[in-house]
Amino acid sequence: MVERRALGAALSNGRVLFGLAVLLLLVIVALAAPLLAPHDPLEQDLLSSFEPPFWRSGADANFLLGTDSLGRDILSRLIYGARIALTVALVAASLAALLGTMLGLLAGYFGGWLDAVISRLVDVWMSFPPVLLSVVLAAVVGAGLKAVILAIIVVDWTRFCRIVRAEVLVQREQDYVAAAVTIGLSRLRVLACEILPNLAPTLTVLLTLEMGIAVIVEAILSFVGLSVASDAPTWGGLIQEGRLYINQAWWMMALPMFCVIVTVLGFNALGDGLREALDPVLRR
Amino acid sequence: MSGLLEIEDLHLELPGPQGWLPILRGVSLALSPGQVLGLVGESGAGKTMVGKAVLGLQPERARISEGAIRFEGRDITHWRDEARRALLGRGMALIPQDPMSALNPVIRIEAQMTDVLRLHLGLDRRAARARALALLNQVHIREPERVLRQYPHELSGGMRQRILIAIAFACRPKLIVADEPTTALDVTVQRQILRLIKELQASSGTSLLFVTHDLGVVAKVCDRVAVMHAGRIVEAAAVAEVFTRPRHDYTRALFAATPRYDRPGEALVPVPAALSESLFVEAAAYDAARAARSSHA
Amino acid sequence: MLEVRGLGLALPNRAAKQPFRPAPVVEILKSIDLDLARGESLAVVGESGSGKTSLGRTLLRLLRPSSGRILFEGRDITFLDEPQLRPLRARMQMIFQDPLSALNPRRRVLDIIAQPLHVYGRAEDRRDGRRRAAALLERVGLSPRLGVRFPHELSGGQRQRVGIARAIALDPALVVADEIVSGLDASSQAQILTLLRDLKSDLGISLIFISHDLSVVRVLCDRVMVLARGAMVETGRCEDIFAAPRHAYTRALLDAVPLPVVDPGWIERSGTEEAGARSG
Repeated sequence: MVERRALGAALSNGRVLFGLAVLLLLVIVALAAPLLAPHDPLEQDLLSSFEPPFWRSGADANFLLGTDSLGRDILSRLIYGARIALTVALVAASLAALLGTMLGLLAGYFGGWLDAVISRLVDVWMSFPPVLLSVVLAAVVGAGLKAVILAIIVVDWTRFCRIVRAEVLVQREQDYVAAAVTIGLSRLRVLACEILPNLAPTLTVLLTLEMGIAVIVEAILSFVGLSVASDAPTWGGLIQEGRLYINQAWWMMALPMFCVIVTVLGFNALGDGLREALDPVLRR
Repeated sequence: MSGLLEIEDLHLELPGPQGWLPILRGVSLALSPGQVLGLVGESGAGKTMVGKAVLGLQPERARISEGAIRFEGRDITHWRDEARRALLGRGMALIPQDPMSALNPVIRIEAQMTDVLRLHLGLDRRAARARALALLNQVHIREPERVLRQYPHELSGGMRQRILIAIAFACRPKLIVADEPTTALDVTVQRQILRLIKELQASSGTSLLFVTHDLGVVAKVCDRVAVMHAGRIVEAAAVAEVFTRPRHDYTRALFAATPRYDRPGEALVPVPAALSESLFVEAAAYDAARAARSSHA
Repeated sequence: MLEVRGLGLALPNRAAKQPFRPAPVVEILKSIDLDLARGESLAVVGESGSGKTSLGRTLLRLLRPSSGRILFEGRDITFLDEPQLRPLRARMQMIFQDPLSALNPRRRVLDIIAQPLHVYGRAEDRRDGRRRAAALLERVGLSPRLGVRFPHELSGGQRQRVGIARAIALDPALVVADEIVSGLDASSQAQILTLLRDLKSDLGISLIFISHDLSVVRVLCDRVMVLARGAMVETGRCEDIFAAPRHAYTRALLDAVPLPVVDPGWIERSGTEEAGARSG
């Protein structure tokens, strides 16, 4: 679907390479967590609490990035946190994309009352403050990873829906759609086989950007305590814990923040770079 | 030769995947004051690029490797930025091909016209507005006050083109490059616009470089014509001559490929592939000879 | 083969819609009558706003007429819905004005041409489809090697040929060509016109050729119909209309075509027309 020249352009774009590197790193870390993490992230060792990271004097070689208040190894917790971050990013972004794209396609192509209903729904939906929506959802569903993923889908599907709908409206007027009708394709086939492939670049970019957003939302929700159970290592949870001891051990907050920032930067760079690389090929 | 515009042996190239691609291969032509010169050729022949080079509007990445463009005796070949801006408007102007993309869709006509007038003529707002109204009258637009208040999309294609023509003639330039100004218009509207251009050109003594692919338009509007192929001029002469006794095979082929409703019996003959091929071969030979010369120099 | 009586098309003008009221309806076509015999070619000529493109699309039922009757090969197709029209669509095809928008930019040329064959089961499998598509490419004068390219990798003339190849793929009885040479220079235009002329006589296709260029029309067509503002102004055989146009509008249209003949009087004769709210 993505032609060779586009791939070439994409892979020679610096931002794409950076983003892919970050993504790859994340995937490796997440998949190989049990192998990479030197300790069990939940294992407490109260005698070794507040160990400093390797660059400070008095560091313990056992705990490269130090330990938290309960003696748990921060490096291991960050590694397992990557797992949760990646899971949320992939699952939530994909499902939000799926839901939003489907509704956007229908609204844009068929128009009429279907478009009116879906558009009004999007308008109303987007006027709810997202944080409020997430909190309500967590209260109803109960805190945990499922709630986080659900919260992201429930809020962000509208972004996909709006953009896809706009793209479909443009593509619908192109003559190749009329041509598809003249050669006997049914409306649904035209939508799926003709229009949707032309949305691929836009969707790719949106998806990567959405993954970055998902990581941030997860961090926010676990910072607020609405994510997984408190001893499971999420980056947001680590930031929240670290905040309490910022004077004694600033690295407890800084290190997970660094992870979040790099990950989001990576996704954003990937999305931005892809948009740049894929666009001019189409525009010709 | 003391003409208004002299282009001498112009060579223009664009960067390509394998080095520089020649777009103009030694183009030479001359334009006297008050003259209308037509530039015809197929798409890709380079006629638009000649017009752009004259105005200094060629793409940034293009380079003029040889030759000169002289305007009123001054060598303006490599003039850019400040120098060019001073020249545009009062010295030379452009009538573009597509009136819809040449006008800013979100700005009213009045602002678009007065901006140009104030920039080049240094008029204040009131004087500029009065001048804009006078110009709209000159291009025979009814209800000019109403038009000034409108946005481009509220006007027909013909009216938009009239406004662009008005803007081009506004500062009384010595030379106007018209880049296929009527290609996007209906045939009856085209006739009106050509008449308008001719009328303004005659009354102001402006020279016109008229780029087009339509031989019929050339016949009605131009004094001289230059036929281009692959960046070279294959024939240049007075219109009366070229249309009765074309000398180059390619010119003859273009005529044979142009349908005429008053000669239904005449067969329509596309430009023979062999002729096209031989011309491209000639162009390639020219490039090779030139490369050989420059490597020896 | 094609019989049209009193065809009318009216569409809502959403730009002029007032709140709480239905959008005002604009009559795009007003009671058009048309006849086309097998193998005949009819030119539909008009300026912008004449409704000629809408007429082409309505005849192929890409738009739904508001009134009148379209009889295609004996069948009344005026108010048929999509599922009923689909089997008939193979017999009526269209070539669009802008091939860049008429060819799916994400499909290779060979797939674009093979697609109608697969939809109507005229190809046994993908290889057969590709084979037939390659043959069609050759038919329209393109090298089959161009089949692996994408539309934006071809020139304007080549793209238009691909559009023609797709239109004849299903061996239709009727082809509507909507301003197919308008954006091309004289050389490409001549090539496309001669190609179409040859295909027409080889395949026995009935052609409706929409154009604003009267000289182009003369090359290809037996009969011509002049449209203005959705209504038929004049219709008849080409030689009759061109030699002795009866309606003033047709005469104005003919006079306005700049023939490649030096004639200083042509400009003078055009007369000043004030550009107001109506025309250019």
